[in-house]
Amino acid sequence: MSSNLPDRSAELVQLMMKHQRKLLSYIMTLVPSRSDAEDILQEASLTICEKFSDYTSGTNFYSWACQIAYWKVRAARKKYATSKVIFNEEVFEVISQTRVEMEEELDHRHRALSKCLQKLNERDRRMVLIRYESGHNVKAAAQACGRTIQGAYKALTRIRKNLHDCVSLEVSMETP
Amino acid sequence: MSLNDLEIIELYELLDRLVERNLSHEQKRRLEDWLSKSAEARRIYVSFVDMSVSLSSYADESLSVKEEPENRSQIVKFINFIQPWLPMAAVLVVGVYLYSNLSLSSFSGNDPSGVVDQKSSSVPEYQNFYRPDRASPVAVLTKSVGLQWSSNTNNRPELGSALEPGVFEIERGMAQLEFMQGATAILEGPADAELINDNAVSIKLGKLRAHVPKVAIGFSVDLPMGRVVDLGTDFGVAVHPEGSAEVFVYRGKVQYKGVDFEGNEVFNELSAGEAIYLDSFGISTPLDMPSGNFLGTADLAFRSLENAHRRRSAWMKKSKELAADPNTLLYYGFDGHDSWSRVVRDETNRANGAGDGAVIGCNWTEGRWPGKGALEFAQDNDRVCLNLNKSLRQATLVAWVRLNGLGADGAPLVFSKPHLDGAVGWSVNSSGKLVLEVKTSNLIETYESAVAFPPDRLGKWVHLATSFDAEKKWVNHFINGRSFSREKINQANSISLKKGLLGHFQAFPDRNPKLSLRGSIDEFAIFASVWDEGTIRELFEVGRPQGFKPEHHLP
Repeated sequence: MSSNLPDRSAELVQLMMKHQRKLLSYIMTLVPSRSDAEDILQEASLTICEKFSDYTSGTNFYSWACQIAYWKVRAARKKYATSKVIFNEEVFEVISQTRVEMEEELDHRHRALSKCLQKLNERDRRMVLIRYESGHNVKAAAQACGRTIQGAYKALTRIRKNLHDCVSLEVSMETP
Repeated sequence: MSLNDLEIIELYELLDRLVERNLSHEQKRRLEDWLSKSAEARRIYVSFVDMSVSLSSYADESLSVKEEPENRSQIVKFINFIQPWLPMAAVLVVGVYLYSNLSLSSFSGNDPSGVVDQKSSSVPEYQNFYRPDRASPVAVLTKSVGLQWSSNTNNRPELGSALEPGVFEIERGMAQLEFMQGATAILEGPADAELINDNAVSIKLGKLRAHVPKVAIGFSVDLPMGRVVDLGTDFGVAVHPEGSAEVFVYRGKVQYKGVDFEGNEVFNELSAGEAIYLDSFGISTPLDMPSGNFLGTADLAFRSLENAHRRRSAWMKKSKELAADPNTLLYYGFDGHDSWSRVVRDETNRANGAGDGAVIGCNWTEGRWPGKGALEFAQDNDRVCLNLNKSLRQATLVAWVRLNGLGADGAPLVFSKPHLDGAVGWSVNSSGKLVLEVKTSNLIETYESAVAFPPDRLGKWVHLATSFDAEKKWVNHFINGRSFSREKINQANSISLKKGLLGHFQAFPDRNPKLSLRGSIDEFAIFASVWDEGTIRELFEVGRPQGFKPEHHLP
């Protein structure tokens, strides 16, 4: 185990860069509000920086970081208790378990999503990517695409369903 | 418990509501019920939420595509997702790229019906999916001064909007349009214009001044009786209510081709300093160039914009020199980073990126010039982790910052861990004084300037520098390139930024351990020598921002 953080700062940065999306996704599975999840990720990132000397190079960083994130989420549950999107304790635990079981599949799904996005027509892809840009929402996507908000909601529902089905199909073809 | 088709449809509806944050309490209970009982529902839920994060990741990537030949499809995608903060430089880069690499006319049609079979198409992937069609943006509204839309028009785009072909009418004020091919045009109202395509506009009424770089040669402006075609230049046109017009050429050349009232062709080629008057019958007459400003405020704004670009170019050159200087230990220019980047690049590029900083929490934002990057610190715990494992007897710290406010503890610039000997804290305190704190074996010594941040300096870019000289025993503070104060050093004989945090107090005594800077930093450097006032003045002058004053921007 290395205990010298300064010599390992490049390693830390590299690992955080590599796993940041997955860590956010892990937290969002447990706390589906994006802004709440980002706050928790920020707190988890601080702890990861502080505890990095405990991490052994070459072992599974994501798994190690998820443990920190898990406890950060647990600690944050009280803070977000009134949120509509905080699940009860039982659901929290079973979802956490399901997430762990699906990690490998989710990697495949992330890659497959790239292919499925390319299969969308230009108008739909533009709509969905604008919606998911940082700081954007359905209203922004509707305005950018010249749609009513109601129309944009419907279109996004259809697009997400198409993408989810497309990804499932791609993954099923990929894994015999 | 497995779900039937109807339940799966309902589950998707709930998940949609979940990600769009409009799930009712009843619907939440329903979702919880399924998630607790059905493994299938949990798997769909987990994959659905994960897909949302992946979509965000791909969406942000689509905005940060660089000019690389193998990424041509993404380049075109980039145009489609052009954003309010998109820098003009990026538009020009795209313009250069399109001009030199893409034949837009070769793009094929796309399928309007959702997911399509990619393999069934014989055209290359990028052609099939990224065809700019008529609905694609042709320009971006990037600046405005006193803009008031015509009461006749429903087309009232917000600042930063990507504009599609169509009518563009303004009652008064000025609008700056950046066309996708690279031309910049400032339109002054009252004006009635129509955006034709990414390199053409038609003017029925109003004044327009255009700057056309080489990549956009051929930019055209249709007038009532003819067309001005640019040959690489700066020019202006004015169209009057009765249909007469004037064309002025400031640099380079333009051609005017039109017809007169009898159908005879009218042709003029105008060089720099030449102008013509076209009457409402289409007949041209040479005209003297106007001695005053052609567009009033817009003209001033145009020059200001050009000035900003020149300044940015000069800064970039200086920036490269600084990064290459062996005395530069750490140099963050904050420029050219992707919007999702969690790393600040140390431009000195020494020791395999060991000087790179890890961004925690902060957001990327616009810096001193349009298109220049900066990091915004807006929340508690925002910070950049950096490490400079050196003990310095002589050093100069330099930063361009914009402070939004000074809290009870002031504004932290950079701090190292306080328990280390030579630990340093550089900040603006709550009184607006620039402060250098240095930990010695016994205590923390404080060297503070006079008040550098009166209230009117908040919200503006300010250049800060502090030098530490243990040889001559002086700490010098500089504000906007000028010596501001100097203090004699007591005992401190070195400083260190081991385990440093940019924009955060670390755990220095008597400070809120969560508190971060409230504002932005768009340049930060540490030099291993004591810089004199002349050198620091040069840094300030080269980096001094210019351009529109923010208070002149309309929302």
